Amino acid sequence: MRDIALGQYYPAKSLIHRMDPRSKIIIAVMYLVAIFFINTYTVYLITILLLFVVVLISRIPIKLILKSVKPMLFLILFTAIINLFFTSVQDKPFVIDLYFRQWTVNNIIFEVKWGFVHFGMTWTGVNNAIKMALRLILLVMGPSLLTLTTTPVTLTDGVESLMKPLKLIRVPVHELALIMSITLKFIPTIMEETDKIMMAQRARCADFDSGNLFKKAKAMLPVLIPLFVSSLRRAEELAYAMDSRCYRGSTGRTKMKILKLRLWDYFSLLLSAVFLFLILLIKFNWLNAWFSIDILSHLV
Amino acid sequence: MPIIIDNLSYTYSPNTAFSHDALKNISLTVEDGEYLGIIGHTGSGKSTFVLHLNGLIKLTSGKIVIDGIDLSKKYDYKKLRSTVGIVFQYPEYQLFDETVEKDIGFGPKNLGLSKEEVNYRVRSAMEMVGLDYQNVKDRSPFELSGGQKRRAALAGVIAMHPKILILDEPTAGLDPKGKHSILDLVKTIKKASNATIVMISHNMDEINENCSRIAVLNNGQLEYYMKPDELSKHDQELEKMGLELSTSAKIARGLRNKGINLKKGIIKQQELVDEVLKLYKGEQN
Repeated sequence: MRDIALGQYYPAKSLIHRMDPRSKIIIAVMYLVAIFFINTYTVYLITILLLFVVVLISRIPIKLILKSVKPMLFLILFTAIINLFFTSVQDKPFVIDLYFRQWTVNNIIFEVKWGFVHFGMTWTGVNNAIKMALRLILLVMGPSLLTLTTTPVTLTDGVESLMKPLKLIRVPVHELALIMSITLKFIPTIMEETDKIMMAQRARCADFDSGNLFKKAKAMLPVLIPLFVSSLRRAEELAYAMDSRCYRGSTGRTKMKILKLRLWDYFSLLLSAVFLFLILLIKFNWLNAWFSIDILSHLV
Repeated sequence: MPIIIDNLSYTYSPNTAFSHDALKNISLTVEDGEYLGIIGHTGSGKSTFVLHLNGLIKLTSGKIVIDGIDLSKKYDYKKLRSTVGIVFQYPEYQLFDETVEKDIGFGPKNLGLSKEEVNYRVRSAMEMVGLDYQNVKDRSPFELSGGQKRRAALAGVIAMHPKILILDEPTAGLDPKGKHSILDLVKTIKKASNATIVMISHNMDEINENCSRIAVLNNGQLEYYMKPDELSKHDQELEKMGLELSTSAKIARGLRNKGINLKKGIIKQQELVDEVLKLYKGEQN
């Protein structure tokens, strides 16, 4: 229960921890966009190395970052297998290029033709599967670095501040941020409560682990009902507590901690923007289009 | 058979930044029919300790033998959990079923007992905790009063007929009257079933008045394990640990400081009253 890495803050003292949440969010978004435009193994390798450097700076154990991929493992394997076997079978030469040596092989590794069924494994499929798996792994690791280095409260502060322009079109930004921060804040409490109630029912010989799916779901009722009851009670208490302290939404509300961008924030934002630009440059081969310099199209 | 604990240690989240030693080398033996009180400030390891006793925390280091069941080997968890009943803090938050009767019957039913036996146990458990069977059995546990809820939750554990009953701060959040009646109830249960009782408490008054032996935990270590009157010789050490002495002990000390010649080692209300009366009568004569 306690081993869910995504969304769990890991306390440490590092440059990344101290950064303004807004710049971290923007960088995370730029990173996500960039990942979608990577199309060569060389760039994947560079990105992985860069991510590794950032993890080192953040002083978060590498193990923890790797752990964040675990819940997605099934999805990653699933897409890889789909890509592996169901890429359309085309018979054409395929070039395996390792810079120092190149092989040209037959694209089709094996093929099954049986009535309407037609599938097979091709080198194109292998290529797609590896790239897709790399993309998904990088997609999960980056944002988990954001949540590992930022407390939920700071994160919501950042989101609220970034969404401020939406107030012009009457989006209740503050209320949304509040809902988000309350939700995030109560996750550990509810997890702890779940643990406690499960233990109490276990002590009365409740069995959560055996039986079929239907039986297992039914066995969870003695946990879920008390959990709902106490969540409702807690929500009511929280509402009273806020009411008694004259909470009335965003109007006239000030912040205790005012977010401020520092030199380091600007520097890392700039670096990330350069990173995104370079990836787009490689993807669309702008050097060739603008200056007729064609080096990048030879990247593997 | 007694509870034997030998060299028990436990660490939360080992090998991480959150690693924390909750229990350090605890060894003690609890004899049958004992009323053991466990006292210690928040985070001293009391809860972790009792959770070990019915296998809710898996034994990682040391040895525990309960009623002949060796927890360091493979054992029948149903047998262990029907031997050791545990009433958690605020047990009323674990009520879930449609009716009080079904909720109390949850444990016995999980033990695989017959319908008649479950019914008999529910009925007798309700009578024991002072809930009227006919009136209360078909009501939803959520519409009971706070005190009744706690009694119903307690009944849910004693209906499993445990030989060892563990109570984690059974009086937390109750008014003085409710506290007394729960403690009286525990005494009644003990008399009726001759069970071994293990009670966690913050309150030295409760512990001194009820327990036959006291275990003092401090930062995961067992500091003292002795009878209440023996423990009263270590008042200063207890206070250094941040524990509060019983009211009677504090009053007696206050009187002694004012020059009144009271004997040492007064920890119970009745003892204090007796001693003061004795002095008062002596002065009158």
